[in-house]
Amino acid sequence: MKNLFIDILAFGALLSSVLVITSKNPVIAVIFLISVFINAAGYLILLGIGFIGISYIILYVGAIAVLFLFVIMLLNIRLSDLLEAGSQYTKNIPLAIAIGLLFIYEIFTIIPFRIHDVSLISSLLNLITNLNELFLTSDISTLNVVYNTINPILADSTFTNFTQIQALGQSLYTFGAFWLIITSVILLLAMVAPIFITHKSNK
Amino acid sequence: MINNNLILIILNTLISLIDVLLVLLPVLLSVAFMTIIERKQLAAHQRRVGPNTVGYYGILQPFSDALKLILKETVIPSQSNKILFYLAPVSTLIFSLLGWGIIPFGQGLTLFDFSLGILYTLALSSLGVYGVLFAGWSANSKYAFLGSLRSTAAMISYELILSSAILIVILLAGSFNFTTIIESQEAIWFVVPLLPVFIFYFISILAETSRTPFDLQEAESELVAGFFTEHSSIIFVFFFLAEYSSIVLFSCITAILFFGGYNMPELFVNNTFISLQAVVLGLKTCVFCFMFVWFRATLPRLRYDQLIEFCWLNLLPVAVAFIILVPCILVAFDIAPY
Amino acid sequence: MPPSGGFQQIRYKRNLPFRGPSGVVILAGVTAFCGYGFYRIGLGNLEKRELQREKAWSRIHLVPLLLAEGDRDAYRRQHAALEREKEIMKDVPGWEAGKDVYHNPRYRPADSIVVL
Repeated sequence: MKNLFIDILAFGALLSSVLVITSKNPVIAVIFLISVFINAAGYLILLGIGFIGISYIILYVGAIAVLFLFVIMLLNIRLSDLLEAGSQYTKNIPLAIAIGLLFIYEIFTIIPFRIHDVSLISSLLNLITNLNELFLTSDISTLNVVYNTINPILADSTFTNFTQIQALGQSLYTFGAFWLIITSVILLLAMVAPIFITHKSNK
Repeated sequence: MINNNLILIILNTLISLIDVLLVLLPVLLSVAFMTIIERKQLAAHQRRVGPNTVGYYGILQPFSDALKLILKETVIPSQSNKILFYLAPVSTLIFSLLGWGIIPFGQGLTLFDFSLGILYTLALSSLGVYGVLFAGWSANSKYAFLGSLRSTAAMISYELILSSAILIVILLAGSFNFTTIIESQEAIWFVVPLLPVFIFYFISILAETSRTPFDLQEAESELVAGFFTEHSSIIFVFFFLAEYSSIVLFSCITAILFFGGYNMPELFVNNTFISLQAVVLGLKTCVFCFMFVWFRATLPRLRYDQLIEFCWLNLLPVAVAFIILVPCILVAFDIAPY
Repeated sequence: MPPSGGFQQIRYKRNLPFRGPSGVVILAGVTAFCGYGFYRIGLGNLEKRELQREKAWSRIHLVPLLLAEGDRDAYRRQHAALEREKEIMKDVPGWEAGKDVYHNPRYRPADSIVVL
């Protein structure tokens, strides 16, 4: 069940990203960008790292996409110009198909990919087999996947379990302290620039 | 094909749904009665009687309001983006009501005892900004658009202060979990060591819900209604419900974060099944709802540039100062929660 | 008719007298209040640390019991698997049940299969 949701969220993220590029209205494009972020955040939460998933929503959707939206809504974009430019893109389609095919060939040469690995498609193609199993056996667990584990959790290995934030903090503030300070200095520099640009000096 | 496992799955889903309904129905009722409380209390501050015709002392007024709004004619501007026009208030209401999922009404009595509860609340308040933004933009009217941009800018500015205040509470408590924060307040309510933090937290809550003195965006006497000018009957009900639901939700969160949640001294032994802790939480929430309306009755409005200047030039340095001060105190006296 | 000498002067300027405690008094008061609060929070946090220490030590003390239980269970399962193998392959000539296919004599705990 969780795998089904992960597949749906991944597919939703990809679909939204395609729609970001092909939308005519820029605000609709940013809406689909927000949808990409929310799908990615849901994917991360289902993967088990809830902290990073929710911080995606707080930071990307809550701050960065709002920034994009403000800029796009306050610019004076004339929709007729955009629509006119869009109709001239069809003459580039053969070139686009050629480059896309080249890319897909490269990727699928390197990555071992079988259509059987995509559980959604394989469960659709084997629909009759799955339904038959469901009717004949008496247990709904045949729809689930069997995992092979090697190490059971022994009683002498875990005394305290840290939450994800504690684990992140333990490593970030001790081993990664130097990098943390460097990134904070970079953010400070990034903050100084807009303040300097928008500062009106009283003559 | 009906077998044991399938019945278990269906029963689990049904019980989860009933749990959610058990929380949401009283919440919606409380939101409805919050409106009449506001009107009666405003009237009391202004030395008049509020609505008193509909029920005993006007109790049934929200239901007649809702009925009137539902039966009104829904006017949709023809050049508006109809999908977003309908979706924006719906999303605002959804994110307002989703925040009730992790509020503890007793010891561990939550819909979902999330270990990252505070982050969930902050994420929902970040997402609630979008309803405002898209409602104003999709109405295709300059005044609604301007109102929504101003509302959004005010909300994201004060969200910073809100996050800072909540972060300081988390530093004292040591966990993001709401139940853990309430249990840590058995020592003393967090309002006592963090009184200045509570002050600017309350200011930022007033600004998040666009209440006076920060409600120039929907000033009912100046602009017609700000970002929801074009939204009529049922859609307006959604915005209305979302605003009052976030008022009650933020009052509840204030009671949980600063005033001990459901903690109270044990005066007598309670052997019944009635959980007094939920009653205590409710009473504390009522106190803060009263304070919301009291602020609206007493204070004048801030002009919009004064509002933004207040946030970025006056409140933000105070918030940053406290973010630096509190960990320093905790580390200096070695009283940090590990 | 207005009284003789005219009406009195109307007071139109703002009158906001400076009453109440001065700034230093408020600051000292809030500092004392917050200081008391931090003192109580400090006591509470130290108590929380002791509670966590107690929890960790109780888990440490439970380790022999749990390990022994796990060992008993693993031993029983391994013998049951061996018996099953002997039962299945009893007619096959030249088959030693439980013979290791690897040359490494080190003990390796059995794989486990989890159906989620």
